[in-house]
Amino acid sequence: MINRFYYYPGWIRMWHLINALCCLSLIYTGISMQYADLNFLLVKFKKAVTVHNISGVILLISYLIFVIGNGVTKNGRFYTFSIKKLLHKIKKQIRYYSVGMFKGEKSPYPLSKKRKFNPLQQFTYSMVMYVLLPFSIITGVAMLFPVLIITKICNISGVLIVDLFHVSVGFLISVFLIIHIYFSTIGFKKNFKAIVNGWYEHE
Amino acid sequence: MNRKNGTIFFLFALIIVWAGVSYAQIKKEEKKNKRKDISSENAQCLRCHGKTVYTEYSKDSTKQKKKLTYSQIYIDSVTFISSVHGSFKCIDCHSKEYKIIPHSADLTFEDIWSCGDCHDGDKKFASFHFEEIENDFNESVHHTKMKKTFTCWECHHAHSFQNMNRSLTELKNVITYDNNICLNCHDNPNKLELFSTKKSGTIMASHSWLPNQELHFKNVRCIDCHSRINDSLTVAHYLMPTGKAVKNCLECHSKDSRIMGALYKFNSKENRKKYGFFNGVIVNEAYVIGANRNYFLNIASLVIFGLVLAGLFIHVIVRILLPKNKK
Repeated sequence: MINRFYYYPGWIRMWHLINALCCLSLIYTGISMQYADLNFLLVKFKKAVTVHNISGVILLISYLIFVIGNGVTKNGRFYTFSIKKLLHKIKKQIRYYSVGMFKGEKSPYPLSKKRKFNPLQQFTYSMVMYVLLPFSIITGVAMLFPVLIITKICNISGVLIVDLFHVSVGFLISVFLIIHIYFSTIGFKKNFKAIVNGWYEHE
Repeated sequence: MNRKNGTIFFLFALIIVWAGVSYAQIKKEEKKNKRKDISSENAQCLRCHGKTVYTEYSKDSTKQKKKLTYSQIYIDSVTFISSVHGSFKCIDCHSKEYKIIPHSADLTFEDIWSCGDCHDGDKKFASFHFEEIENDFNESVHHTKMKKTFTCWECHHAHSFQNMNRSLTELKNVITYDNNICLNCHDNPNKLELFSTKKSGTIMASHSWLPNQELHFKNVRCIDCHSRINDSLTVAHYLMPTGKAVKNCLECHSKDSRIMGALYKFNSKENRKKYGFFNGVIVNEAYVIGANRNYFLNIASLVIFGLVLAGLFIHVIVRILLPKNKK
């Protein structure tokens, strides 16, 4: 029997698309600036700065829509979880992805109307959306107005510290993105269909 | 060592220490006295030239009038003493005839020394490469366009010049000090008129193409973009014509940032070579997008990235090899 769950209403699909495009643009232009060289350049420096800034502002707006949307709709509950036995649940999910799924075992936390994400997804998505992304946005906005940043912190340039955090968080988000894209290929058709028309089909 | 020898040794050591302390004291006193001599001699000149207002008397001294000191003959005594030439007597450089008051009008035409007149060939100043500075300056737009009207003094006034780059002052102060030298003319239409017929616009307008203008002005010296770098000089002296100034962001915002060879030159070159720009200048307020690459973070990110890719690769292989069991 096939169960169909409407996980992704229109506003989430739109947000997901904008968020994905902004992240890809930010990573690409970010790498181009960070490793800029007279002999190596992905995008012209000035263009990279402009595109990075514009993408960052769009990401900020889309993030605000995401947070407000989660606050006023039921989608927000998918990002809340109890820390009780969380580690145990995550271990169980990791075991499934690394061993269980190859043995033909069933998923320990099958998706249902009330469970859009398994515990591992729930934890990582929450961390990315409510810790890493806001941190990257705050440091990014600070870099848009660099003269407002404290000049020196412990004798080190304030802009440099903000930039180091911004780049480091950006790197972690890039790593997440790679893993996220790879795991979406496990049941690619179902996942791709769901993020396009909103309906997730589960056997 | 017996007790007698010990006592002799102790007394001997005591005499050496006493002699050392006395010598240092004498030297200090000599220096102090020399300074006193200079100060008292210079005080004669500064009595008029060190005041912003002076009093002029009529021949019979019955009338008097206060006047503002002409800015070109005014010497700020505090600035002079803290300048690199602060230990000189005025008449070391100026004619002895200045001792006669009122001064002869002919003295107005006294030749002004250029830096090279004293410093060229002086081994004490060999590290400054004054000869090379002179060569670069002679090719510079300031000299080629203005010939003799533009001398070393326009930027390095001998009565106030401080050698900021080699002192331990903060980088921000060096930048402000150096940029003020340029702005003294380039942001002052009246002064600029002394040397050029060119109309000056505002610095902001001529740099409107530059993103984050305020940040750049506060953190980079004018000469970092407007001069040709000379590896043997701490401060470049070949000022390029307007059209040749650096406009390509990558010249600074890249691994081989030109700022490394200019603004941050006096920082340890070796550290920069080994650990990259960031680690070499971490305590010097340096930050340039594209040039700040942390060696350790780069390594850490490569390791993490490699491990993630390896993990995913293994997962893919297992998924391909065990397709039937795939969930």
